Amino acid sequence: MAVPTHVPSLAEASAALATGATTPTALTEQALARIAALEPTLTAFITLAADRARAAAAQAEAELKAGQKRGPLHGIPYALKDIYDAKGLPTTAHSRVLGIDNIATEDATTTRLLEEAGMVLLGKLATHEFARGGPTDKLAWPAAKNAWKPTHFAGGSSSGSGTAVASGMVAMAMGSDTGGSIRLPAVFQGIVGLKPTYGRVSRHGVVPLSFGMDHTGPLTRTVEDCAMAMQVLSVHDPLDPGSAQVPTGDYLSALKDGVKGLTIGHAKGFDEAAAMTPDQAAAMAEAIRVLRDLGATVKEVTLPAMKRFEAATWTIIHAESFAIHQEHLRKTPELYGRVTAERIALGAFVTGPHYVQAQRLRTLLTAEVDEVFKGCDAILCAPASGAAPALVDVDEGPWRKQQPLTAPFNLTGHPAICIPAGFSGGLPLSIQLVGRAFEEALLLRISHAFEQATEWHTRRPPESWA
Amino acid sequence: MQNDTEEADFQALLRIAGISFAPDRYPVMLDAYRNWLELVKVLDEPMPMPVEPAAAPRFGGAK
Repeated sequence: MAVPTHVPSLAEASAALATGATTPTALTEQALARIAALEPTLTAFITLAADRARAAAAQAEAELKAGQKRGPLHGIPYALKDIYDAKGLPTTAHSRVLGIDNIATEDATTTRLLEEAGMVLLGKLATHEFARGGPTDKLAWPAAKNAWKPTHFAGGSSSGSGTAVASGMVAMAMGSDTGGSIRLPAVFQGIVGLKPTYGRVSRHGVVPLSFGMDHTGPLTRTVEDCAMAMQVLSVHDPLDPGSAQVPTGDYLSALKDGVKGLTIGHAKGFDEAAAMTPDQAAAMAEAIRVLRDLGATVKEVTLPAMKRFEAATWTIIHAESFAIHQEHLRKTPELYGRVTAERIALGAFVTGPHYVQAQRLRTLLTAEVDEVFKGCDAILCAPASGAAPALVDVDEGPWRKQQPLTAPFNLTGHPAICIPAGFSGGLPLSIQLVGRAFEEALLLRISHAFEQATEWHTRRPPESWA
Repeated sequence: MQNDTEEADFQALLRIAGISFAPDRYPVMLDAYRNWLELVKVLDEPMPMPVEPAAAPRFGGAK
């Protein structure tokens, strides 16, 4: 049986709905058919809510027919990383600790915003356990597989979100990012992942890993789709203590204004310290050439030393995640996967002064990166040293030999986006662009210009494994 | 440098935290602890006394 085609992008679906060329029910059935065909191999979903999706699609269809259009996303399917609450569905965090009986009684704020926009929830997606474990942990549900090569790492922790979007099951999925967990699945599966500014998108109703480092945001196939999602998600939320009192941005009107006259700072030293593969280095060089050809000035900038970022970042993540999980780790350690338990346990080593010093260093590093932005509009750097590793080569120890290159911007809270920028051995490569706080619109504008000048985002996984 | 004090500290911290590991994971976790000690040496570097811990939103009231 032929595999149903990829679902359309948010922009394509929205345009087709506007002209009557498709319906919410048709979009939902297409998504469900594709999920049915690919899920046995890719295992992206923990909970597939087909009946609920069909009912929501029918309601959207009736509203659209009655002229009650809520917005451009009305009637388009989406999915949630299974740490987001959706009323009536289980929130498992991919863990036996919460389990399938942990039914949400309310929507997360982000879920509510997407539902109010009329989107159709397809279900809940696989994650690394509590957004901290690894892809080979023995858990109650299988790990999501890389849509390009199922034998390779899907990226994490929003692994199911990356897989569902990259494989064309859904046009948009929500992820969370504490050290790179939205961006890395996007990087390793050739899609777009945006970690917004800390405080830009609500964390309320999302299972926490590290209060001060957790960010929520979308994974999409295109930059325009990312902008469309952000237009709905960027709302001040009084239920999130970290939510910033900043007016909602306009992510779409200047999206196609290009990069002419902008200055991009290439953090070359940051990249060199990351020991990039030759293919990743070549992709970066080509990205710089493309941005220059588009009219941007690309100059070298110097970021603070990675070891300073790492010391502050991991002290905070270890301490906060251990504080959240310590009771369960003491009473029911057998319910955790080995990787999750060991990584969270590192928080037992953090002293009070460590934690305070890390937060003080965070103040300094945030100011130092803000200072770099006085000389450029965005920072360009590699998000990973290369393409997705084979699963057998993934570092599943408690102490990772190389920390994610994405994590410094969780510490400083700056928005960061990863977009496709090449291929290596049939697997995607990406670049990372970082913006000033709350300047997601400019970041999306630069990303869109790059995307439209290249063809990487048009490639699709081979599906020869399907 | 690896030493007995480090291992004793490691054991004490796990005891205080109330957690334990299977015996075969002990060397891996001890090695992780030693890596941790190396990483946080950065936190001992002097900072100006008035530097306060970051606080949300946007870590220090930038906006």
